[in-house]
Amino acid sequence: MPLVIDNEFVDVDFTKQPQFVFGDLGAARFRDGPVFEDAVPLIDERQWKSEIEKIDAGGGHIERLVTRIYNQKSEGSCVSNATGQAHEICQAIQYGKENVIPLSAISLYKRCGRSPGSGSMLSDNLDEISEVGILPLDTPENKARFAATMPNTGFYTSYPANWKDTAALFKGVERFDIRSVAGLVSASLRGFPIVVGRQGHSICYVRPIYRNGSIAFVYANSWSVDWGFAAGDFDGGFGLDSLSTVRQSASWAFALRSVTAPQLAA
Amino acid sequence: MKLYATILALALVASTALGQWSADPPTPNTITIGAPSVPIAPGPSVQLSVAGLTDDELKNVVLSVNPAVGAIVLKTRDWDGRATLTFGAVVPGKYTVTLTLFPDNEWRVGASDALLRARDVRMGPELLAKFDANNAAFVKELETKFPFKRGAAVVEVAGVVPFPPGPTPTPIPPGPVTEGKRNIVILREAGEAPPELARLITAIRTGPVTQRKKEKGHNLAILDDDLPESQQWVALLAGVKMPAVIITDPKVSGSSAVLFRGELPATDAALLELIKTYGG
Repeated sequence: MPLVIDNEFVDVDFTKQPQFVFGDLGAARFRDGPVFEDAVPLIDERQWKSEIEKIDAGGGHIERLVTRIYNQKSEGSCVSNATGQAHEICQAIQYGKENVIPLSAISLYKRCGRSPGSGSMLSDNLDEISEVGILPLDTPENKARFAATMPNTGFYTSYPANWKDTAALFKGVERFDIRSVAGLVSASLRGFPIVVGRQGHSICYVRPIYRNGSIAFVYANSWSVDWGFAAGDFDGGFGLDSLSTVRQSASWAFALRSVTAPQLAA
Repeated sequence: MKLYATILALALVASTALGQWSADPPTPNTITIGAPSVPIAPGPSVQLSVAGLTDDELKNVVLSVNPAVGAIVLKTRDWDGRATLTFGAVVPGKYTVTLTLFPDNEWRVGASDALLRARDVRMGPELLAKFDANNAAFVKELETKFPFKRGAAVVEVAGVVPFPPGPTPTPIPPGPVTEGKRNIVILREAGEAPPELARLITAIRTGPVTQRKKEKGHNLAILDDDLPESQQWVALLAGVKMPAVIITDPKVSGSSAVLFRGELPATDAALLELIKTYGG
């Protein structure tokens, strides 16, 4: 589906949206994960436009690998939903869209938030998905295949017995903290899904574009397909941040490059 | 306490060194952070050593290599119980190995967490701005009182001898190739992520290659070389420059299952032709 940007969903003030639930608490400043700008060479700003033109000419970027638009409903679990989205995009890269195993955001959020509306920190979500993992969603297919599954929402849902054994199958492996707009652009051009936070909400950047002469990012939100414009395989669910808004996101962001998932063991 | 990290299959030459840590006497193929420059004899491996730190300090050390080689960042707590760490192969060039010590790291993280948790209370934009400004001032004060200590060494990869470079495709077996289900694995280097590879992967995952995969029932995985599940393929692709592709016949066991191994073609159309050529 071609990218058709609806101005209603450009530089959205999340706090004024009816779906908004405060959920992004930023990130701890001193966690010692790898920093993208130190670990991976940044792409020269003079190359951005030509690289983006190649993406446009190819029909799109990793928004085409999105297999699901999350719906966090009335809980402040946006960071966990965006983190799950990033993991699923990495699954699609590694194993194909048809083999993506949908994940339970609440199984991550329960360890990072203190209540349904407390929100959580990006750094906590990144640490948890890297060290403990995330559970698969409670779809009929996943229930038949995995010992432990959970729904996507419902903070007070109890963890299944021995859930950590299943969660350990779904971890983030190669990950980076991102500290700058140049880092965001470089990571996105290199095909990484990026979890960002701004205005108390978290989303997943999936495609850099040029719009009105400057850089902008298409993102997958977690407010169902009823919100946002169409991209990839979906009729809705996506928004756009132009440069001024992207700058707000550049201080709270991380990228995933590779994940574990049990597809090959099937 | 000494910690060592072994970079597999590298030949490095240390050119300069910075920092404040004392060093053990250098041994062949050993670069010591903070030590004077030491020429490194070419060989199959290089060790990085950290010396002159207390056990408590070592818990808060981060060692990073830029540009990345294999594992991007090594945290000393990851080294517990291990004498060595193995990196992936790297390309020739200059690398900066940086050792960063975070004094009182846990305490600082805790203080920062506590401040950020306080944002849980909903505030108006003006109050939030004041809160963040105070938070930033406090963090700056922390950084002034407890500066990070760093040591670094610039090392130059004089030659890489992990495997012969270039494609080494296995010839098509004699006679016609029997069509059938294929296992196709594309292996890419962790840390290496050129934009053109990202675009190629999206094209593979959304275009004719995936269509063919569905029609024929092939398996197609695109994996980093440092994932545990990649190791069987890493062994089979020894000698091939990455990103690489291997095509196997799942009905055949042993080494004869390998129909093709070589560099990943530059386009998804070329990959599709390659798969067809080898019976997929």
